[in-house]
Amino acid sequence: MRQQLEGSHAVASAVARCRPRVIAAYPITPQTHIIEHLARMIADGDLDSEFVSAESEFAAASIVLGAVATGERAFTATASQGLLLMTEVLFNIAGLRLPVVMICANRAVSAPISIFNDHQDSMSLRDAGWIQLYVESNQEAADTVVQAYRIAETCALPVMVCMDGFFLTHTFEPVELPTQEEVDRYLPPLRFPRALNPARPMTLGGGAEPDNYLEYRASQHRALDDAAETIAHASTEYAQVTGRDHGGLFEAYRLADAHTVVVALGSVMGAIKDSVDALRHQGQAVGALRLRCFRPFPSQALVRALAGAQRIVVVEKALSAGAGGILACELRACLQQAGSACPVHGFVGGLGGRDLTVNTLTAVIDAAAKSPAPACRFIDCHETGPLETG
Amino acid sequence: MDTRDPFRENVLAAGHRACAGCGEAMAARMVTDLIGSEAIYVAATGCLQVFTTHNAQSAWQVPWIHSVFANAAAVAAGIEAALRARGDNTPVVVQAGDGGTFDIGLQCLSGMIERGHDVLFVCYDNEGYMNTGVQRSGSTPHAVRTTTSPPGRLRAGKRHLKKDVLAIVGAHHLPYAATATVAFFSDLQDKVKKALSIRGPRFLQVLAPCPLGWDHAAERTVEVARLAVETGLFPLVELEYGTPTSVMHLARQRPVEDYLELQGRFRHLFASDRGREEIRHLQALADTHVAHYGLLDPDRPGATEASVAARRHAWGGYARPRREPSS
Amino acid sequence: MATALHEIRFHGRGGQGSVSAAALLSVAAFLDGYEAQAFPRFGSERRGAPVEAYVRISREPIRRHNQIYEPDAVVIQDPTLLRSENVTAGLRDGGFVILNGEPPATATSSSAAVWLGIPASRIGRACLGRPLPNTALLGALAAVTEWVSMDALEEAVTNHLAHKGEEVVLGNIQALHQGREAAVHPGPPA
Repeated sequence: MRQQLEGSHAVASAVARCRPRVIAAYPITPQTHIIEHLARMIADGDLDSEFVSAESEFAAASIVLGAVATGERAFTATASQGLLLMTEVLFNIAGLRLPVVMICANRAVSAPISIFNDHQDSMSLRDAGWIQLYVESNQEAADTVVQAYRIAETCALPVMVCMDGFFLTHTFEPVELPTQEEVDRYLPPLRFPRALNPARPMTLGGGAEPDNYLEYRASQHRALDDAAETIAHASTEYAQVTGRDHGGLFEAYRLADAHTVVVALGSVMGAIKDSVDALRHQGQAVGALRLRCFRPFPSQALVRALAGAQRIVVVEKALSAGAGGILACELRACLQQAGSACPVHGFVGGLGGRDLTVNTLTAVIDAAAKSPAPACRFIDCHETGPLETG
Repeated sequence: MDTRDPFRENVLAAGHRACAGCGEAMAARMVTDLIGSEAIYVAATGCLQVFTTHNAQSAWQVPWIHSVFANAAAVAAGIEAALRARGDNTPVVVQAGDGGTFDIGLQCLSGMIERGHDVLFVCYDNEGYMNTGVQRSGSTPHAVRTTTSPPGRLRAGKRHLKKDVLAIVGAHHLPYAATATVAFFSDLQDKVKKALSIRGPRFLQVLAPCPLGWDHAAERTVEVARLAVETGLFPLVELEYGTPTSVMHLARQRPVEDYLELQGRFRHLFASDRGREEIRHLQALADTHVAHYGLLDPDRPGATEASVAARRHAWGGYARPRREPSS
Repeated sequence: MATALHEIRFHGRGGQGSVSAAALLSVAAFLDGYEAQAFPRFGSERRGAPVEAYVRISREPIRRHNQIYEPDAVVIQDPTLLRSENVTAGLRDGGFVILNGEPPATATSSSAAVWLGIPASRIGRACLGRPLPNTALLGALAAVTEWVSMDALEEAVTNHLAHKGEEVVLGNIQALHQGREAAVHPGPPA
């Protein structure tokens, strides 16, 4: 049954239906409504779960680590500063190959302090060994968090579901929640063979030496690469159970005959689709590709999907200061590796909650057809005019 | 560049964006005016930081730094170390909320005290994470309604007791720690002055009612703070080297209901038997404070001069002499 | 609904329920069978701070998640905002301004907008015991625009406020209708 729900409420309800036994979190805008809804459900007896109000995000991540290591499904959510504070533990969780699931309510990072949306937080954790999925809508957020548990528990890899702070978390829009019965059918109980258990004692988190550390990392890298297939499967099987499919590794929009392809992550894709339609109306062969899975980076699938493009316009909400856009950089690398000479126009915008409007995006895409590809340009940067040279 | 407004003398200038009736704004204005502008102020993330430095504006007429939520005490330690290295006696003052003190900030606070830094740490305690939307903290009293400890079919608000951070801090045997509140200004004034006269780590916990989070009328902030003290729920005490050396005695102990009934965050306790049981628990807690600190007993001997001196000798090392200025 | 998309911008202060009003409107539009979206723009939790909230109502699925720059209607919950914020920025010609209070003289005489002053705080005080203007303003908005039905608004209010008790729900429904009345039959100035 479709309902008009706030994004936070939708994902909290979806999480609840996954039957987590431990929920640990520390409040940070714009994640707060997610954990408040869960607290409310538990207080009313609608969710049987331990709610642990952690003393910091570092603790919250550690608590879910401990819970999953004990063989129970867990959940946490955070954003921005909180995610960065968790960093050490997130690398640790991934190295321990624990199937932890979390939501990152994407928010800009300090300094300067900003509560508004961009992707700098999760992008800064791209090396941590977590699967990262970025969603476009609240419907997708609710569906993806369920898939996240399936993916995590199949691959023994942690999964971070990234949803845009405020633009999604605080937005009311129609959502059809998966029913409890659908979730139970899709998501079997967690079976974690390495769980801490006196009956089968195991040591988790031991040391490594120069003669074996590299093999751990290589196997982790391979596991992430192999997860791409699981992620795609998880999506199609979810579609079979619920009828809803948001794409596996990416979503293509009017891509087939597109000469210019816009590549982006997250909810900005909505405005991008409106821009694409506007430009198509004017006769331009424009399309878009929303990257849903950022880690593992689906190089081969992207190269195939973008084979017909004459130019690619990346619009992203994060950067590696001193180097440039992150997504643009990775995309250029995988295209070059595949022998493609397709120019990639790198744009960074929407930082700290700056609105990326349909008009602005249309202008950016339109200009791309007429100009050489910039390495990294800021969209709507007031300092030097609408398109700053980078 | 001196950006101070020549017509505003307060350390914390008016025009900031606090809610009407904000206890923390009141407390911060009182405390910082007592300390003055010859000091370096370090803020933890929280209400005070948010409403005084929003978006390219600042209400602070003093050198002021905010880093992240957890590290104010550590940043202050670094500032103090730098000042010490060049023989500079400028006071270093931390201003944190209860989150930045009781929970996420506790590690750095402990480290700063343990190493004996000459820093005054002021906690404005509004008993919750307020500017993120009234979530519970370790400072939230038990049975309080917050958004992460909502009353419901199975719950009567926060399940866990308010953390006794004064005892935790006091267990470091630091030279001075005290509780205060906005309702008793001259008591607060004496305590700030005393803290400023002492070298080494010092700690003040100032109870600051929050009309939004505690759900009381904005004009009753001082009244609510007074009742917290007069019920015994928030005793006003001073610790030197961890030993209580003075308390604010009560002429009489008000029943906790007088305090609870003014605040919507306790409203659910008046609506059920379970709630009323929690009121009895809160009364027992208040009674325990009264007994522990002798709040109704003006004749109870506190620590003697000799015993305080002995502790100072035993735990000494905090009162490190300042290096002389280098030139 | 004649045109494809209606965009409404709410202006209020923290604590006046602007965010709730926007959410309620979107729920009502959804109940009427439309696609709807609502979201706020504000900073940290603080009573009295200016807040904006946005609502889109459409027959088609709404994909973009941008702020609203060219609203078809503006709802102003606190008249003091007229002095400090550009609350009618971008309002389309013929757009509606639903104001809690009396429209300023300049407004009604010179603009291309349709101004409507509703004594929403007074209605709130009468129906709810507190000067909460939002449901009265929603009733007025429904009346002049017909973008959402009163039935749907009633249902949205009933569900959204159920946890606050029957008295609160009934008071808000009363306020909805009085707001509508005030829009349809403007009385003497408040």
